[in-house]
Amino acid sequence: MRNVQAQVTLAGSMDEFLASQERRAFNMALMATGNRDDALEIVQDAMFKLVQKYSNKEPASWGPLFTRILQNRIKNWYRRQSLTRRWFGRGATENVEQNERDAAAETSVELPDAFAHSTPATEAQQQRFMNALEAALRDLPLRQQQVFLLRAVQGLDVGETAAAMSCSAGSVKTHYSRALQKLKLQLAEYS
Amino acid sequence: MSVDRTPDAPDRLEEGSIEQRLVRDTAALIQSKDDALDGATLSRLHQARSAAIENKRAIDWHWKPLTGAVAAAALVTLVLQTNLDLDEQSDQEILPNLVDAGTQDTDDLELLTSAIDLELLEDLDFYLWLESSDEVEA
Repeated sequence: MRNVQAQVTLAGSMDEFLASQERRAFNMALMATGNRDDALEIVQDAMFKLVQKYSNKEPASWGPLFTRILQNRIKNWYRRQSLTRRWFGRGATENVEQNERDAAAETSVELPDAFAHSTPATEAQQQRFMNALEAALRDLPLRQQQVFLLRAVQGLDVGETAAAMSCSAGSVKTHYSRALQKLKLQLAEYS
Repeated sequence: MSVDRTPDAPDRLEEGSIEQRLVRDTAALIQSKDDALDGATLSRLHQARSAAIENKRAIDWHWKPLTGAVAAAALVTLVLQTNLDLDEQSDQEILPNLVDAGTQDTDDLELLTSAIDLELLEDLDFYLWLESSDEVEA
């Protein structure tokens, strides 16, 4: 009876944990893939893996584990896409590019609350900037993009980012620095 | 990203400022996308989450009886193996007696197959006495 009770509690807290992570995970995956269905599939796979393999671990470890699983799934997706592009050539590339354009259209950026009280002119400028920022983030190479998002959005430090992406701290610093340089370059006109 | 450009400010400070603003704006961008997810996407995320939890429960309930059966089978095997070991040990304890018995049987066989008259062996004491008394008389 106590076992059943414990399982129900665990399932409940795991459900709450996933509910707290799913939107962010989806947007991280969407930024990487540019495709809504692929992003949803990646998040679903990551959820299944976490629940099946790690639900008995301490809840405090679920966050880093989920981030790492998600990153692995994104990496696997990218490898499959690279293979598809290599084997099926331009047609497949066009499809992917179309998906990316669709995703960008589907997820037009809404201004954060911080801009709620700005004038229409400023608001339009900020809107253009946010769209440009999103496009610039999408254009980053996958590793640079994910390192930058993990550090900037998830607030992970170098070590945590390295653990999530299964790479060295040195690689994280390099990717982050290159991402920053590219973003600055692409957004220079808004400076 | 409205960066304040002050010509006299050191480049490094400006670089740090740009980085901070980029980080802040990126966080705001992703947060706004989190908040603005459409109903269909949220529904599919909810379904994925529920499926993951239910799948785990189903696997647990399917594995539990199997785990019990495997444990029971392992226990039975252990008990049987232990009994077999004990039987083998008992056999080894009995074996020396059997060997002794075999030796005795062999001795008996030699007696039976020897050319010496069995009557002589049975009355060996008498014949020894007779021989000694003959020597005395002689």
